[in-house]
Amino acid sequence: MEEDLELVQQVRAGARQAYAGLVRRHQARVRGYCLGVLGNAADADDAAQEIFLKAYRGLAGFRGGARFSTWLCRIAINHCRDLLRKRAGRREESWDALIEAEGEGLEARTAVPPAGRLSEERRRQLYRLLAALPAGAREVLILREGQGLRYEEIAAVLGCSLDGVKARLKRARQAARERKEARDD
Amino acid sequence: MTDEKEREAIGRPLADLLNVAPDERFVAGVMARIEVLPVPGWRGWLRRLEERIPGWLYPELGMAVAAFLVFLAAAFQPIPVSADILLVDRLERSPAPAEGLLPATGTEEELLWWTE
Repeated sequence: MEEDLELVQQVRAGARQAYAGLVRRHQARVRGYCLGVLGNAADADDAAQEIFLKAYRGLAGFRGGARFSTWLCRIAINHCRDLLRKRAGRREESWDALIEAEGEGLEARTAVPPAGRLSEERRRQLYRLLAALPAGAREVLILREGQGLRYEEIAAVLGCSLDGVKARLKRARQAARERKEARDD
Repeated sequence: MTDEKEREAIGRPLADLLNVAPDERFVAGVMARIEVLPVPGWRGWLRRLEERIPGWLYPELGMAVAAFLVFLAAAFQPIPVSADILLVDRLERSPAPAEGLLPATGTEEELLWWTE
C-alpha cells in the first residue's frame, strides 16, 4: 500500500514511468477480473488497458482515502459493467449466445495463457458457469473466489455493507452451485 | 455443502482460472498509450502550458510581470514627504523666532505661512 502511494505521488509529480510500477503490481488482478467478467482473453486485455488508462487520467482525483487497489477495482467494475451493457445490444453477454454465434472460432478468442493447472475443458466449463450467472453474482464471486479479496475489501469496492457482501456471496454461490449441478446432470 | 467443499468445487477452480500470469508486454502496451496522454494534476497542467509556450519565453515573461508590478507599486505609493517634515525643514532654514513673535526675516510667503 505504501509503495502504491509512493508511486502515485511520483506519477503526480510528473514521472510518467512510475506508472509502469503500478501497472506491474496490479495487472494480474485487473486482467483476471476482466477475464472472469468478459469471458475471453483478448477483450479482457483490451478492457484492462482501458481501465489503467482511465485510472491514469483520474489519478489527480485519487485522494488516498481508500487503497489504490480498491480504487482501481472500482474503476474495473464500472468499466466492465459498461462493456457488458454495450454488449447486451449485440447479445454477446451470454456465453452460450457467443458460442452459437461464433462456433469454433471462439476457441481462438478464448486462448488464455494457461497460468493455472486447469484443463482446457474445465476452463471452458467455468467460463460458461460464470457467464450463466447474473452480473452481480458473477462480480462478487470473482472478487471473492477469483481475486481472494476480503469481505471488507469487497464491501469497499462494491459500496455496500459487510452483511450485504455476505448475502450477495451466499446467493452467488448458491446460483453457481445450482447451475453447476444442472450442467452435471 | 459446507463452505470448504464449496470452495473446493467453485472457489479454487475460479482462482486458477483467473490467475493471469504477469505480462511485461501488457505493461509496455499501457505505457505506450500513456505516453501520448497528458500528465494528470496541476503539474501536468503546468507541463502542458510549458509545451505550448516556448521555454525561452518564461524568463522574459517573468521579468515583464515583475517590472509591471514594480511600476504599479511605485505609481500608487503615497508621497513620503509629510507636512511635519516640511515644517522641520522650514524651521531649520529660518532663523529661530523669539517666542510669540513672527520671524524677523523671510519672504512674504514665509511670513504668511507662519501666521496661518
